[in-house]
Amino acid sequence: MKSECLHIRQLLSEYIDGVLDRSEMTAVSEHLHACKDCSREHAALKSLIRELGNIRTFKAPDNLLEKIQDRITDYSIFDRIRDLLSFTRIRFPVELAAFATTAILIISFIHFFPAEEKGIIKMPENKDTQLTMDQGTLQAQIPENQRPTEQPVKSPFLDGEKKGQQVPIKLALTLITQKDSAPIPSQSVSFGNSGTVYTNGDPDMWRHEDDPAKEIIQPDEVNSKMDDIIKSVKGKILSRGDNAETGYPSRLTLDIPGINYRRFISKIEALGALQSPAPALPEGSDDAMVLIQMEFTQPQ
Amino acid sequence: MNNESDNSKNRDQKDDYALIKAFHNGEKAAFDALVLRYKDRVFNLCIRFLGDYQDAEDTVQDVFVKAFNSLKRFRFESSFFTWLYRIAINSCKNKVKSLEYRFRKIDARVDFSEESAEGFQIEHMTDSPGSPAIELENKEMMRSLQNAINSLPSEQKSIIILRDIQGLSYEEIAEITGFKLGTIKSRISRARSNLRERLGDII
Repeated sequence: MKSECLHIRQLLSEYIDGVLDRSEMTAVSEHLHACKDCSREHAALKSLIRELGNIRTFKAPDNLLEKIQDRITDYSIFDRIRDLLSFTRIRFPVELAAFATTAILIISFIHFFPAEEKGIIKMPENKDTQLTMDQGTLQAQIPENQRPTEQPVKSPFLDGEKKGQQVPIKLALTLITQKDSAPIPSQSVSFGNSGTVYTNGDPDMWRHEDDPAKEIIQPDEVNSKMDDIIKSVKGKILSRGDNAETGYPSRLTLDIPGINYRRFISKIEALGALQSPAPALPEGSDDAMVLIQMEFTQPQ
Repeated sequence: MNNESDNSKNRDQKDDYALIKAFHNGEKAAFDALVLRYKDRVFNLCIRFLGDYQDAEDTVQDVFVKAFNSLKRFRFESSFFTWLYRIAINSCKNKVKSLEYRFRKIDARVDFSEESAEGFQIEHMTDSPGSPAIELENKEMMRSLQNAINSLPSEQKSIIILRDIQGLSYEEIAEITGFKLGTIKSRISRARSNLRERLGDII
């Protein structure tokens, strides 16, 4: 290609948009009259721009405004902090974020648990009590007649009365992330040149490349099922977190009416296995709200 | 023609400013009016940038939620739509960068049929239905165009969408992206040249 043609082609885009200065516009125009190759390139570029201009447009989903309004209502303090940081272009180093999270956890722990359960040693109030070391263990020698009567230790997560109308429960769920022996849909199609197979039956289910007999349940689907379950038991999500690498949920805090607690447990068991049996609610908790803290893990 | 277009843009800007002032005065409904005004344009920007309906739907929600929370700080120093588009472009870039997104096969989920599996209707701007063969050809062309757009680097992609699909002026693009006019010109030229290469003889 001649150097003049090369130069003209670099100007074609701006020539079509009419943003060259007058002398350049004239030079390109004259060259295009004289050079068939450049003229062809000019026509092809114009055709491309025309096609892009005529590309199909989509209507936004009808319920978009409602969804936005819902999200604005649910907008949490964490989102506000994140947006504020993003607005001011402050970048949190990962270490600092981890430190902050740890600090919050420690402060919450100190604040939430009574001192006895944290292993903090309180000096006995009675003067007759003596502290002695026995094989590395600190022992308190309390006179027989002054020993407190033994009280059963109550878990703060199962004491409905202590928290008024809210019963805290902790659950750990190992997620099922694969489906075995899923039938191959008859309408599987391949798009583009990626060779990826998309199943018409369920857009979130993708073939596992290593094992065609298994299908991966995508994080979106797990989240969506979880949302459906919570909705069905009239629950409310208070906070949630995802595993940054896998996208699967890592933790979830929600509250649900006590009367729906058993139903909730039976439904989440379809998503995975509880690492220990779900605790029963104290008597008369049907009218209370159950505050559930869930931790999710994935099978190795 | 240019004057008409400028007048229309000035009118739009005045209307936007009136709605934002109403919002600043506590009328939350004014924000809803802004959403209704711009939802289709922002949604189309997102869908062309991300190449995926569901991701575009999530992202357009993010854009308006962010806009809602930042609108009280809007100081009328730029037009509302360039401000909103800046949020939209940044949200799309963040979406593409997210780990979750990188693992997904974006081109496989773009469906250009008239009605997709999710049941959404596609509005076709050109009103000539043509024969089934022409329709098929059009769909193939749309798919090829979208795949070519998907393959562009983010900066070129955003600029080509703003210029050639959304029809914005160089000045408006400069306001949205913060680039100088010279940079905009060279990026548009490079993006078009890349698209030409990728589309080969199709165009």
